[in-house]
Amino acid sequence: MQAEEAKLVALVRKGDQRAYTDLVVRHLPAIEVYAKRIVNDDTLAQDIAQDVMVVLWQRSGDFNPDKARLTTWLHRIAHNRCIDIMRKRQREVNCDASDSEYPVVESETATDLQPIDVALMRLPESQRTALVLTYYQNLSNRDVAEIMNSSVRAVESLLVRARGNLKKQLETQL
Amino acid sequence: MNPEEKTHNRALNVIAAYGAEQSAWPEEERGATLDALQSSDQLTEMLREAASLDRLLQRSARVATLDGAHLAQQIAHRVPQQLTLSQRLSRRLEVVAESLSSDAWKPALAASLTLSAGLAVGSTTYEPVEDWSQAEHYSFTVVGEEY
Repeated sequence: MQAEEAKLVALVRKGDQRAYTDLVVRHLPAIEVYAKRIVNDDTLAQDIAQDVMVVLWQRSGDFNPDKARLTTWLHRIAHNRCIDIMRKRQREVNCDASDSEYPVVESETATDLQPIDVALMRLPESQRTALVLTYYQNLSNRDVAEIMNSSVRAVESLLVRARGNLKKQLETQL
Repeated sequence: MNPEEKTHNRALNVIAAYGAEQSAWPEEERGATLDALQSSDQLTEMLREAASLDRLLQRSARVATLDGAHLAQQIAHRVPQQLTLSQRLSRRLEVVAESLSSDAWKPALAASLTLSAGLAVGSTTYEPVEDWSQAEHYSFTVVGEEY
């Protein structure tokens, strides 16, 4: 799988559109869902996923198959985009909040969210990212540490806190 | 702390971090965690609690909706690739190598060889028939007539 994807990326580098389509079809759904769980905004998440696929097309030469799996590389780009967007949004929220006497309500574009999705959104960003990457994206603790630019031990600690927080929030349903 | 306590504590941590699914546990620690589970009621109870949280996590309603094939086509047609100088050079060299390995270069080579041979023969055998030795004198004559 890894070697095959490295070959496909090498073809993308040469401008092969078929290889590119193959990789996008494989990886886009996971990246889109990941971004949705992190930024909690479907339109923004789709923009992020598209951005990641543009990077795959434009800068496939930056991917080194000896250093990482393609999914890890793509998740890392998505993670950085999500962080940028959330920080930007946080700055805007802070600005708005300073002008208003009412607290700003967390934005949730999807109305049919499950209680678990709401609980996930209430987790601190780093805990949510660690949990989503490990549990939903099925990435190894080493991959998650690499994506989050952290250590395996720190990721584990985030996971323990994230699950503990979720347990508290969803106590009645457990 | 004796080795058994150490393994027990580590198993507690593994379940607390990764949940009840064995496939989610770090591969190198699965065996030891399973062994520890068999001899500890505390770990079994913890595993049960982790499994209920896992079930809740599975209820997440997020789904992907983008059409990958369509998006890929759009990007490939509209967005130019950004290549470094070395990548561009190696891509050019690959194109040259590919064209040399195919038969497409043969007619072009035949035409250029014919042209080169023609030029070489022409430049060595051609002798001008006009005598230009009197050209300077002739041009002064023409200019002198004007003034």
